[in-house]
Amino acid sequence: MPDKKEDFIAIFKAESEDHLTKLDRGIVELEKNPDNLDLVNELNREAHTLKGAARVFGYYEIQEIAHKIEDIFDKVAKKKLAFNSLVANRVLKGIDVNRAILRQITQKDKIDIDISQICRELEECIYIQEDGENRKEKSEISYRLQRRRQSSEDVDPQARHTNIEEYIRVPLSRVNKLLNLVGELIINKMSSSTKINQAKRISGLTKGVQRRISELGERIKKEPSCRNSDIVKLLGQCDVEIERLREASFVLYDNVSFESFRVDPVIDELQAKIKEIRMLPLSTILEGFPRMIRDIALQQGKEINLEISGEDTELDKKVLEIIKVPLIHILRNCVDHGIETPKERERLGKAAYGTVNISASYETGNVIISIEDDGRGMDIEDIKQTALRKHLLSEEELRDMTEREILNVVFMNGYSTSPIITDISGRGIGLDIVRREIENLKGQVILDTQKNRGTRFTLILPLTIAIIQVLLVKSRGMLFAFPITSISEGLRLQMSKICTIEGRMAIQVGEHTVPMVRLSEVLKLPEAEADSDVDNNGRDLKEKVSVVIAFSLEKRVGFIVDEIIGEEEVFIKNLGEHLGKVNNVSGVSILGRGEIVIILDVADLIANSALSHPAVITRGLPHREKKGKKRILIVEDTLSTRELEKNILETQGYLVDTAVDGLDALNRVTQVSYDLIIADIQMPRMDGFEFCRTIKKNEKYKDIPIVIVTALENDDDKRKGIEVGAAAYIIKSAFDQSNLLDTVDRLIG
Amino acid sequence: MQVTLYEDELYEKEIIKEESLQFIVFRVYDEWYAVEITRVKEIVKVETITYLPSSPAHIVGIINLRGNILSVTDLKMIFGFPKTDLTRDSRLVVVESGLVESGILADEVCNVVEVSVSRIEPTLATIPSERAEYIEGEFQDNDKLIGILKIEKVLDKREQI
Repeated sequence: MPDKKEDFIAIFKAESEDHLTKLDRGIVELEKNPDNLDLVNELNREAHTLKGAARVFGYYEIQEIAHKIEDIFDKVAKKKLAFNSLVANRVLKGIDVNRAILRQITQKDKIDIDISQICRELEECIYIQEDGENRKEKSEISYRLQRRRQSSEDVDPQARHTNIEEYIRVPLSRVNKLLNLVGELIINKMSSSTKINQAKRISGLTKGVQRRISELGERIKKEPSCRNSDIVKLLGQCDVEIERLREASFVLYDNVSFESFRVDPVIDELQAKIKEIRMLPLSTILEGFPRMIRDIALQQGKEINLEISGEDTELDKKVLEIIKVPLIHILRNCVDHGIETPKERERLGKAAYGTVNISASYETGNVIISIEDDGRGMDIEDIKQTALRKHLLSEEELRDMTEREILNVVFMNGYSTSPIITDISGRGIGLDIVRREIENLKGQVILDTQKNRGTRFTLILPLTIAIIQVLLVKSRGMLFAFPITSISEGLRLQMSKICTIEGRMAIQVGEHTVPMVRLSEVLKLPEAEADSDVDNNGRDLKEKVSVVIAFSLEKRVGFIVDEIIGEEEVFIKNLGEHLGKVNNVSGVSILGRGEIVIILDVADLIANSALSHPAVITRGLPHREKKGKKRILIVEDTLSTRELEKNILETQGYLVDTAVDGLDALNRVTQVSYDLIIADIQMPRMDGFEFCRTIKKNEKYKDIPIVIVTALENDDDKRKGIEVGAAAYIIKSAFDQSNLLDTVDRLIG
Repeated sequence: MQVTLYEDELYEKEIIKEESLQFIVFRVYDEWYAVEITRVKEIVKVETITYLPSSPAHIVGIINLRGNILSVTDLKMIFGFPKTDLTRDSRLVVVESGLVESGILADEVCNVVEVSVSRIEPTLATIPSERAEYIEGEFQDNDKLIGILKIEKVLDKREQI
């Protein structure tokens, strides 16, 4: 219910973003096809609506820019202006400024962006062309004007009459509450199926009793001494009552099963419909992509055609939100590393423009999204070299790996991280994060590549994340669930199959040696009281053990459990606000009997299995362990930020010193040796750029990595930061603890 | 008639003057604590608490409260008392602070006590400091010393694992 000013602003923002995205998209299209008059008119309308809305809310800046953009489209429509790339760039710039203003509106309710520059630029592009061309155009104007009017009259009424579905805006929280309630119904549905079984059993039991009684009756009749009429009479009564009981229990069974027969499909349907409410088409996140690809391609002097198909495919809103950043990253990867420059492409006999194709489709309860480019592909040798150079793997390890495994090295932590913290994602994300995000969704990423033919990333995603398939296990008498998607197998195996090397356990699965740990040890479960034969080596003497082999990224670990119970489909719930995210736990579910089962977070478990069990060494770990006594210098003039950063880093066991500006910092650097420096840009006396430049010029200190943390959020500064030699660049608005720690860890961890 | 009305009014005014608060009083190990009644959502009986691995020590687990997951906070773990088993008298005092909710494990819930504000005293200086930060004040009731819990502080505890 929009009853507050903020609500109105939120709506205005959502709508304006919509207009801006449509403009973005249209402009990219128009640039390719400048004669598309319908499109020009459509864009003109978008700009006009935006202008109107901004006026209502009194956002003069947005209104003004939209107005100038509208002018341009007006001229284009009248054929007074050619829509070339210069015009396109300026209009896009105008759109960006409007976006920045929108951001300010929602963040601080105050606009301090100067729009005079962009307005001038937008005006200019009209007059520059007009001066040269207006003479010959004049004669044709009246004709074109007429044509335009005609065509718009043709189109508009049609649009008005088509049957458009009506929409309401509902807060997502309401839908989620409904979904939660449906979850309850499902739990009841499951418990009613247990009731049916119970009723059936009662019915069966009474039948048994009845048979016994009639047997007893027969015996008594044969026994001469017991031919007491009273006993026979009593037995007869028993028989009648048991018969009634049997009838009653049968009726109960019948009723219960009929009830669930009728209600179950309704619940299922209800569940499906509510899930559908949360579903949105993929196009909702793809809209900004053509513009993004165009911009990056332009920057790198590449020509790229982005093809999108299957954008109507619907996914859960949450899934969509989570996959957006990974998708952007994959696309960037295609443009940055996949597609070659036009020259190189021509030399290889390919079309000058590269093609990146995004396609989506449904497949057996999943959505498959594939991103494919026709670029140079990935080279196995190159990957090996990079892995060696970055100390991700040793030569021996690489020798034992198959091609596919080597290809998957690109998903390893530290392989592809870019030094620039991108504004898109707020952090320098690598393909490892892509994989991690997708796996968190219980999805999968598959990579295929062919040299000089291209690369294809295939994402297999669940339609919704509320319901997942799990494998239930017991450990120390407690119930746990592994998501099926992160399990490769569940085994019962002979104790003798487990070999121990220096105290660590491992088994041979196919060609691989898989390290093993006890689930109870990783989770540090308390000793079960009732169960005496728990786990102090006594368990090892048992002949057979149950093992669940789980995987995350390139790592596989076998978890020893007491018992594998079986698969079940469960409705996943979070732990609530009080607990937030708990290590090793991805959520909980309530089973049919009201019993709570903890759903395990396999990625956490695998990471912790290496920690809790020092003997188990997982790949890529050794070089990260020597964190601890590293010394970091923080250069920052604002006290609060300085203390915040210091606090974050100290909690992680780093030694931290602080300096208040560049000069102060230089002083300290000469006295103490630092492993890393974190610097702000805007500081008195000597700013961050200057400081960085000075350090990098000095032979003795130039190898100290410098991370720049700043409020400045523009590409020029970012470029400048990298130019002066910063190792990473974090924007304060995107600043959070893990972001900083990840970056530090990556550089010196 | 008129006189009675007048008296009624007087009576009401007197109540308003005497400002008081209502508390739910409960036992934790051998001490008594209280939570202001407006902060209590409900009091529920506990049957089974599911252990939640990797959670802080004062979270003894989670329960299924009509289909929602509720964390169970054990003050004994915060205050350094020995652990006790669940008994027939054990209850969860479900408290909320903003969006955050938790059930505080009580060995016994006593009653609702109305206390005038003047009877509430600042925290005893002798209380160990690790406990003092969770106590807002205290009052005497039937020879019992009752500590008023600072709910925000208890729910905010995020301690190392």
